[in-house]
Amino acid sequence: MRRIILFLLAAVALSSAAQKVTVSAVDRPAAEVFRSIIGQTGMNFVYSSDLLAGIKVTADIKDMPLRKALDIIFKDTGIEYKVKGRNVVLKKKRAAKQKPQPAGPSKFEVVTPSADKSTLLEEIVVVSRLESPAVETAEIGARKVTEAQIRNTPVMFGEYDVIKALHTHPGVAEGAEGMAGMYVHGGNADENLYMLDNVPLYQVNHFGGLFSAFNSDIIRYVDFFKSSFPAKYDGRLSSFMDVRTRNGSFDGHHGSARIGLTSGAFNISGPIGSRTSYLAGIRRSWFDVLTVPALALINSAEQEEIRFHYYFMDLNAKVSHRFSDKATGFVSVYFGDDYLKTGSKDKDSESYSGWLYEEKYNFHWGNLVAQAGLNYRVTPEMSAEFTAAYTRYFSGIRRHETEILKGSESAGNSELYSRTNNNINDWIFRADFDWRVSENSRLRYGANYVRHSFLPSRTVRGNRVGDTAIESRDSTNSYGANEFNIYAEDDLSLGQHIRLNAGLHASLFHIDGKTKGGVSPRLSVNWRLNDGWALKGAYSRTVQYVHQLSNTYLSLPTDQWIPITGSFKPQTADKIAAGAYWQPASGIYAFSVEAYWKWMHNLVDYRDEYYLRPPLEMWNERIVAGRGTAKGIDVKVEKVFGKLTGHIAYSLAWTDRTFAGKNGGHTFPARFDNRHSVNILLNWKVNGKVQLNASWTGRSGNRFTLLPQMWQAPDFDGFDSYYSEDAPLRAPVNNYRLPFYHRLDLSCTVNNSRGYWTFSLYNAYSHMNAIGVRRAWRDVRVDGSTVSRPVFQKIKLLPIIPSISYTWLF
Amino acid sequence: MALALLMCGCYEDFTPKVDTQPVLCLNSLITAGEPVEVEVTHTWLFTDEAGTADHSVGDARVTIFANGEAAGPDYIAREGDHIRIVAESRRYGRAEAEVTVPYSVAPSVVEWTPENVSVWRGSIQGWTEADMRFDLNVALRVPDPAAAVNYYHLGRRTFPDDMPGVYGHEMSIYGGSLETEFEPIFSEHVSELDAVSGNDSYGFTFFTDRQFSGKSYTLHLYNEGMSYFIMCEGFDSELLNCGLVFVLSSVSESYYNWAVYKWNIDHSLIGDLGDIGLGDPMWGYSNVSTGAGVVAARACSECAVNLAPFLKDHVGTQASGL
Repeated sequence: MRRIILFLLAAVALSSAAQKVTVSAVDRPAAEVFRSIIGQTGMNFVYSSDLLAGIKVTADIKDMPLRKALDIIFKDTGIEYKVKGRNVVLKKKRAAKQKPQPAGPSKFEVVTPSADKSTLLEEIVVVSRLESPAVETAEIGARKVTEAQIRNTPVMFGEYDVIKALHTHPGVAEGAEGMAGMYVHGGNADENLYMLDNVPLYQVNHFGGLFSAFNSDIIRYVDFFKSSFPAKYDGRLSSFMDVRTRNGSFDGHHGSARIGLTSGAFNISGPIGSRTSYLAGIRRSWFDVLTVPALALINSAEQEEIRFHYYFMDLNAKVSHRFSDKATGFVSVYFGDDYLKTGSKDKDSESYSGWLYEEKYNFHWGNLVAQAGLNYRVTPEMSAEFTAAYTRYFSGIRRHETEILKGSESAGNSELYSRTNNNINDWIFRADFDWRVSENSRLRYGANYVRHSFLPSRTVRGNRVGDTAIESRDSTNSYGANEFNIYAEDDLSLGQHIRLNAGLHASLFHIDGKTKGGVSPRLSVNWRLNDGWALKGAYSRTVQYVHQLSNTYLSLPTDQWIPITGSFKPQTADKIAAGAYWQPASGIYAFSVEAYWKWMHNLVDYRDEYYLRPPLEMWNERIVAGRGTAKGIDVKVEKVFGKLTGHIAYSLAWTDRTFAGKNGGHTFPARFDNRHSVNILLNWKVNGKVQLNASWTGRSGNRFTLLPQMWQAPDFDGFDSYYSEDAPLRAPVNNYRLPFYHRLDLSCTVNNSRGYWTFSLYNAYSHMNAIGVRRAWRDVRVDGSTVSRPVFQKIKLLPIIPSISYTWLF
Repeated sequence: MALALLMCGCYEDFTPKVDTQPVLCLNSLITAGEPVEVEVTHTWLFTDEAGTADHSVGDARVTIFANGEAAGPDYIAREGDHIRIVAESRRYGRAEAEVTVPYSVAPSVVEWTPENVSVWRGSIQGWTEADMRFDLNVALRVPDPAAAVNYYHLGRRTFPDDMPGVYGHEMSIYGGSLETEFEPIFSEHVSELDAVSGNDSYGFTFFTDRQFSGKSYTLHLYNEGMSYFIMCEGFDSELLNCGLVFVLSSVSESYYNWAVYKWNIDHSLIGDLGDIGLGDPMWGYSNVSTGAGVVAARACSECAVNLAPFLKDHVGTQASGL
C-alpha cells in the first residue's frame, strides 16, 4: 500500500540551493540532519514516509553549497534528490522517469518506493499561493512570510511576532510605538482580517497590543495581501493575513522549548501511528511570576496589600490524519487569553473601630477557535478544503469593592460591583475548491456561511449599603446575524507574457430583519516583460460588516466588535494599484515599486465629544459615518539569498478622513498619516552558528491633535473647587505632526548543538521617540523664588531594551 | 516590566510651531428669576505667560436677546426664555451663543429612613444634650416632563441656615456626604473603561432623563455620616426642626455637557490617555460659536426632609426622662 507523507517543515520563501550549509554529524538520523539544513536554508524536504528508514548520515561539512552538501549526504544511500525551487524532493534512485511537472505552486513530485511509474501528487496539505516570486504572480502587494523570516526580525523583548515582521514592509504602519497594531495603506486597525487556518480571529493582541496573539513557533507560513486581493478574501477593507500552522512531524517526536525574559514557549510534535500526527504548542508570559517578589517587597512595608497578577497565554493543538492518498483531515484548537487581576486590601483589625476595604478587578479576554478541516483531492487536478469551525471572542470584566466598618458610630458595610461582558460567537462552515482546469488556468471557488452572535457590551452595576441594595443593567442588545459568502477566481495565463487573476466575491449579511449585500469584483494582471521585468495592475473592492470601536490607541478588553446595524451601511473600499517588478534570473535580488489609491466609504468613527453621550445609549448614537482616502507609493529592494539578505523599503503615503460629525465636517489627516517611511532589514549569516539581524525604521511622525490655546473655565455651581481649571480650545483634528520617528533594533542568534541563543536590543541607540505632546507646568527659579511656567512637553517612551532568550531544540 | 518601561519615559520642553488666533470667550450661567450676567474674556496661547494674569476684554460690546428681542441689563430671566448672547470686539472678533432656560421640576420626598443610628446622650440634670450619628436613606421622586431630553442637577444643603449657637441653646446638623455610587443614574456618564478602572461618579450629581423620559424616577439618595448635636437647658422642640433640603435644578444641555466634560478631564482614563497621545485629546466643551466658553441656564426647585420626628424619638425621649 502506498504510503506517502509530505513532510513540510519550516519554509523560507525564495531560498535557493545556492545557499551554503554546515553539517556536522556522526551516525545521525537523516531526518535530524534535514532539520538542521532547514534551519540554515529554509528549504522544504519532500519524501515518502519509509524512504529514510534506517538511514544515518555521517558528514563533516562546513559552509558548502547546498547541492554539494546533499551530494555528500546521499552518497551511497540509494537516494537521489532534486531541488525544485524551495523544495528538495527525495526519491530512490531506481524510481521511474518523472513526468514533467506542471507549473504552479502547490504540486510536488514524489516517487514512492513501490511505484512502478511516477506519480504526480497533488499536495493535500494546503500550501501558500505565494510560492512564486512576485515577478511571476498576478497579485500586487502580496507577501509570503515564513517562520524563519519572523525569527529574523528583531523585536522588543525578543518576542518574535508576525505582525511586527510585517511592519518592516512598505505600506504597513505600526501605529503607536511598540504595539502590535497594524495600519495598512491608510486603513484602520480593525480593517485587517487575521485568519488562523482559514478561520477569522477577532482578538489578535496580548498585553494591550504589545504582543500579537500568534505563537510564531507553530506558524508554517503567512500569506499577506495589502494591495490586490484574491476573491477568496473579503470581510475587511485593508488587508488579509492568512496564517497557517504547521502539521505534526512523522519522523519522531520533536519540538522546542524557549525561555525568554517575558515569556516561555514549549512546542512538540510527532506521529501517532503511521497516519496520524500531532502538534501542540503553548506560550505563556512570566509577568505574574516576576511581580510576585516585587509585590511581596512592597506589601511587607505597607499596611495596604496590593495585588497584581497578569499573564497571557496561547495554546495550539492540532491532530492531523491521513485517511488516504486523497484525503487528510485535522482537528485543532487555539486558545489565547489575557488575564489580569488587580486590587488592594487594607484593614485595621486591631482597634475597636476597625475597618476593611477591599477592591478586586478581574479582566479576562481572548479568543477560542476550534475547528475541523478536511483536505480532499477530488481528482488529480482538483482539491477541496472543507472547514467547520467555532470561534469565540470573549471579554469579561469584573469589579468588586467591599467596605466594612466596625465600631459603634459608623458601623456598617457596603459593597459595589460591576460586570461587563463582550462576546462574539461565530459558527463557520466553508468549502474551498482549487481546480487546475488546464496548464494555464487555475480556478479557485468556494462558499461559506457564518452564524454570528454579537453581545457588544453588557454591563451590570450594583451597590449595597447596609441592607439596601440596588442594581442596574444597561440596555445593550445582543444580535444574531447570518452571513453568506460565495466567490470564484481564476488564475489565468494568457500566453507567455500575461497572467491575470480575475474573480468575484459576493456576500449577504442579515441582521435585525434587514439584509445587506456586497459584490466585490477583483482583477489583477501581470504583464511579464523580458529580462525579469513585469508590470502589474489591479482593482479590488472589499466589504466589511463588522467593525471595532476603540477610543484609545491601545488594544483593551473594553474595545467592542459590533456589526453594521440601523442606518449604517457596510463599509466598502475601492482600490486601484499598479506596480513594476524586476528580478534577475539568478533570483538574488528583487525590486518592486507599487502605487495605490484607495477610496473608503461608510467608515465609522467616534464623533467629536462622543463621551458626552452616556454609554448606556446604543453605540450608534456615539459614532458617525464618513469616508476616507489613501494613496501612496511603496518601493522595495530586496536581496533574497546569500550570506547577507534583507530589504530596503520606502513608502510615500497620504491618508485622510471626512466625517460629518467630526472636525466640523472638514477633511483631516488620519492619525497614522506617515508621509515618508523607511525600513531597512538586514540578516547576515556570519557562519553556520551565528546570525546577525538589524532593522532600522524611520518615518514621519504620527499625527496628533495639539490644543495650543486655553480659555477661562466658567465658575458654575455644582462643582468642587478643582473644577475651575482653564479649558483647552478645540483645534483641527490631527493638526500637528510629531517629530520624525526612528529606531534601530538588533538581534544576534547563536546556534549550538542543542538549540540557539537569541540576544536582542530594541531601540539600540536609545532614541526615545515622542508619542504625544502634553501641557505641563514647570517650576523655574526667578529672582530667587520658584514660579511655575506653562510649557509644552513631548512625551517620550521606550528607551533601549535588551533581552535574551534560549531555545532548546529536541 | 512593560509598565515600568512605560513609566521611565521622559518629557522634553519644546515650542511647537502652530498658528493661533485668540478669540472671544463667553461664560454665563442664567438662572430663572435672576438677572443675566455674562463674563467676556479671550483665549490665550497656553505658554503665553503674559496672558495668564488677565484675560478680560476691554472693548467688548455685549448684547443680550431674550426671545428674539434685545433685553436690557436688568432683564430677569424666566423659565422657557430663549436667550441669545452676542459679544463683539475689535481685536478678538465676534462670539455668540444661545440657550433656553429650562422649566423647573418639583421633586418630592417619597420616603426617608435613618440607618446606622448611634446616639450619645449627656447626663446633666435638667439639660438636653445629645450627639447623634446616622445615615439617611432618602427616596426622592423626580416627575419628568415629556420632552426631548431633560437634564438635571441635584444639590443638597442642610436647614436651618442659621443654627442657634448660644450656650445653653445650641443645635447643629451636618449633612455628611451623598454616596453618589449608590444611585446608578449618577454614573450613567461613566464609561465601561472607567467603571472597571475604578473611576466612579466622585460626587457627580448631574443626570438626564434618558432612562425615564416622561415618567417619574425615584432617586435613591444615601446620605452617609450625618450628625446632629443638641445641647439646651430644658427642652426646646424648635431645635428639632432641621434636616436636608434637596435642590433639583433643571439645567440646559450645555450645563450638563460642561459637567460631563469636567468629570472626564479630571477622572476618566480616556482623558488621561488623550493627554499622552494614546487616545484622542479632549478639548473643553463649549456651546459658544468660537469654541470658548459655556452659556448655560437653570431653573431650581426644592423639597426638604424635616428630621424632627426622627430626632424627637431619640432626643426627646431622653429629655422627657430627665
